[in-house]
Order: sequence, then C-alpha cells, then structure tokens
Amino acid sequence: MIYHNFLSSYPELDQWRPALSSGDHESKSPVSVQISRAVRSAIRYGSEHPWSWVPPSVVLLLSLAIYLLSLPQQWTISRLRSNHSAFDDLITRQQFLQRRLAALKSEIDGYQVFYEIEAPSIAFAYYLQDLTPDRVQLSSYSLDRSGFQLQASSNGLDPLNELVMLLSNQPIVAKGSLTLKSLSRPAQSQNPTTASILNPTAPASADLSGMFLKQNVDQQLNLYRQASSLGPFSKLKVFHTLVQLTSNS
Amino acid sequence: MSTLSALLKQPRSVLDALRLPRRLQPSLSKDPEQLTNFACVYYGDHSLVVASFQSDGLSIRSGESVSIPVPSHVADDSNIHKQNDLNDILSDLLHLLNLEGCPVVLLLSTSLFAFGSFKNQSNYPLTLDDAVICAASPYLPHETLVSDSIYVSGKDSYHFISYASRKLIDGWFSVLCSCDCKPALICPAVANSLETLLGSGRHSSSILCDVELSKTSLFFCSPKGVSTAKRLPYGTTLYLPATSDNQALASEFFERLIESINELTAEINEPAPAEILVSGVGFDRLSTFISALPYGLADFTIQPVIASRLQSLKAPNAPSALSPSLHSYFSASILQLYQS
Repeated sequence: MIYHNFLSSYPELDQWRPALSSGDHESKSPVSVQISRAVRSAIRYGSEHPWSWVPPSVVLLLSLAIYLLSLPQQWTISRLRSNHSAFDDLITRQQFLQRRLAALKSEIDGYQVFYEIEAPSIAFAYYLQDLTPDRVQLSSYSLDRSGFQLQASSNGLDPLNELVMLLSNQPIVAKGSLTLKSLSRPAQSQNPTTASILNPTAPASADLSGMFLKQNVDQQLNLYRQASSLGPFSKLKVFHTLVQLTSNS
Repeated sequence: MSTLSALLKQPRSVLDALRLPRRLQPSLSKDPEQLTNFACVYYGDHSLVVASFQSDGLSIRSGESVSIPVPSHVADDSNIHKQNDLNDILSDLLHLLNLEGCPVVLLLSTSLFAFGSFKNQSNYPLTLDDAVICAASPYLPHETLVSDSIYVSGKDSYHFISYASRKLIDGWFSVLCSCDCKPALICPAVANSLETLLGSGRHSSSILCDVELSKTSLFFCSPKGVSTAKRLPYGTTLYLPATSDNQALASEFFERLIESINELTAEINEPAPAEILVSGVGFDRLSTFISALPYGLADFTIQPVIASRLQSLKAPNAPSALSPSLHSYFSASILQLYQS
C-alpha cells in the first residue's frame, strides 16, 4: 500500500492501480520485455546508487589482477606439460615393472625349494657311468639326498679297487665317507678252496656306500658342466641369475 | 593510489564520476501499452496546477502543465465551497491537456494537513483507531481522516500519522469522481518525497523543510523514521524581493528558518541534523533570487533518485507552470504508486 493515501478511507472506491504490478500482466509480458525491463531497472539502480558499482568493480579488478599474475605460471605449466606427461608415463611404467618384478620374485621363491634340494643324482649318475671301469658291473645302486649305495661285481679285486679309488676321488663324494660294507666272492664250485678264494682273478662283489659332498650353486654348476648335463646346467644358471637379479632390485 | 585517496576526500565528486552518463540512463518505454498518462493535480496557496506525466513504472516523462488561481469562494484551505465550479475548472484543465479518463494524482498542500509521530514500544501495535492517535488530531473525531506510515526499527515501530479534515478530503474526492477520472492518490504534497528520503538509507538525521508561500513544514527525520513534524507560520511570500538585486531579503528568510530549526532541535532535545533539505513551491519562487543556498542548506527539489528517472518533453528553459518541487513531488508520488 502507498502511505498517506487518503483514498484508502474510501473502500467503496475502485481505485486506480498500476497494471504493471499485477502478476497476470507480468506473466503475459514477453520475455524480451521482461529482460529489457530488468536491464533498465539494473541501470537505473546503478545510476541512483553510484557506490553500488564500487564493490563489483573492485572484485572484477582483483580477479583480473589475479588472472594476470597467474599467466606466467600458466605458461610454465603449459610448457612443461609434455615433460610431466612423459615423467608420469615413466613412473607408471616403473610401477608396473616393479609390480611385475615382485610377482616374478615371489614366483621364483616358489621354485627355489626345488633347486635347494641337495640331490645331485644326475651328476652322480654321469660320474658313475663315466668312472666305472670296464671290468666292473654294477648290479644295483640307490641314491637319496645324502648319499648312495651301490653293488658292484667284477672278475677280480683289482677292478673293484680301481672303482673304490675312483669313487673316493670324485668331487661329489665327501672325503672319508666312502665305506666298503661288504666284499664277497661267490664259490666257483661246491667245495671251494682257500686257493680259489685267494685267486685275484676270481669273481668278487662289493657293497659300497658314501655321502655326497654339500655343494654351493657354483659347485653344482661346475658339476653339471663337467657332466655335460646342459639341461640342468642351463636351468640352474638361469635360476641363479634370476635370484641374483631379483635380490639386487 | 594518491588519485583514489584524493577522490575519496571528495565524495560528491566520486559520486558524480560514478554516476551513469545521461545517455545510459533508462529511457521511457516505447511500448504505448506500458505507458500510463497521469493527470497530476496540485492545490496549494489558492492555486491549482494540473500537469501531464507519462510513466511505465521505471521512468517518468513530464509533459505540459497549466496553473490557475482558485478563488476563495470556490475553495480554501478548509473546505470546498462550490464543488460544481471547481469541477468545471478541473474538467476544463484536464480537457485542455488531453487527460480525460486518466488516473489522477492529487497532491494537496502540506500545510492543509497536521502530522504526528508516535513510538510504539508495547507488544500491541498501534492502530489508527487508537485513542492516543485520535487524541492528537486537531479536528473533531468525526471530522478527521487519518493515514499513516510505519517504520520498524528493531522491536520498536514508529508511526508517522497525517491528519486531514474530512470535509476537505470528501470535497476533493467528490470533485475527482465527478470529473470522470479515476482517482489514484490523494496525499500531502511532501509525503512521498519524505518516503523517498527515508528509503534512501541515510544513516544520519536530517530535516526536510517544505517551504510554501505562506507556511513552512519541518520534518525531523532520524534513520528510524520521522520523529517530529512542526509547522511554521511563515512562508516566502514576505521575503520575495521585488528585484533580483535585493538578495538580502531572501537571506533573511533562511536566517529565520535556521533559527526555527534550532528552536525545534532544542525543543525535542536532539542534536543538530547532519543536513537540512529544502524544497517546496515557496522555495522554488525564492530560489530564483539567490545564487547559492546559505547556512549549509541543501536543495531537495532535484533528488538524485527522482532525477535519474525524470525526463522532460519541454525544452530546459521553456516556461512552465510546474516548479521543480512540484516536479519532484509528482514524480515521487507516481513512483510510489508503482512501488506500492
């Protein structure tokens, strides 16, 4: 209501009221008219209240100043963006490789138990095949982690002596562990004589046992190389290389 | 920075610098459906002024105006004695200005009203029927019409009441109704300028002086509202010099006005106001004889809020029956109509 209007004392009067204040008129006004009215109203308010321009102007000037101050930094950022991308890519690849290496290391650790078992069966079999004299026949032999047992027979004691001597000199056999458990000479007839027993060329069989020498990786590789066991040699070498590689990384 | 500090030391210069140039100020709408023609009528000091105004609610354009003296046997300050004669006069003027059927804004001289200010501190709001308000009327209760404005400041509310003679308002209401016009507003001339002043958000007290030819009305405006109104028994009639060389006579009016203001502030126990604003028909007549306002008085006839929206169809130096104060009063009233 308008103040001090004495027409309000005449309620029966159909008093004139501005059409612009009615909501219907506002809603029926086209959008362009309403926008134009809002712009004119804003300009009028700014003209009537000049100080109202100051806060937005200060804010705009401060924003512009901050933007101008940030331009050198933005240029530096845009110039170094490619380097940053390359570095970021490198870091990502390095992290991927580190994860891959850790996975590989854990996988290798799983295989390590197989290589740490001291069972140089292949090398011993090679040496046994290589050193057995021609006149000696191996009837049986057995191996385990720690040692071996074998039965050898020959026509005479000399070939057995030669076998014992060769076995004791093998690098795979622990020194002093070779033991002759039994030596027997089967009877040539139903009445053996002492002479036949003492005959050096009479057949004889011996049970031998021994312990393997504990070896490190280099010694194992050396044994495999000497035994021309290239498969185990290459596997052990690759494994040893991988262990060294993963332990150094 | 030194330039800025220098500008800040001159706030008026800064305001002038920040004010939009004239060509950027809002112009009146060109859509005829949004324009409303107003018949603005002022009566005071036995003179009837009719002016045409156009407005779209945002801007105002003043048009032609005409002034005619009204004989005392037709109408005076207390009553309208011959309604038919006044009706004929007004109808002729409206016809002359092509304002028939337009909404009428009737501003009556401020001296035709009495004013009172009440502070309501209780929880029960004052109403116009309240005995405290009715008792302050200079007229008998059944001959009094009351209208008010309320200013709320915190828990307190301030009622600024205007009292009018029922016979006078009834007479003007009958005249308007018989003129085939649609009444839009009947109020004291200075009322809406006063509302504009209070709505401008000033933080210091001020005094608005509505100077007429035979009387002067003082309104002490604090930031909370109009606290006191007082009518002085003199206007500018006696101080209008015969020639423009005699400015001393005009200065005597302002000297007497300042003394009256000092008496008022001492009477209500208030400090001296920060600014004293002067307007009114009598002041417009007197201001043609003076080059500058003395005693720090400020011209309130051209208010910035109104001036930015006011356009004139007439040339700046063309003779007009519409004085600057009436320009301001009519414009403020039309804008208040739209803002209400």
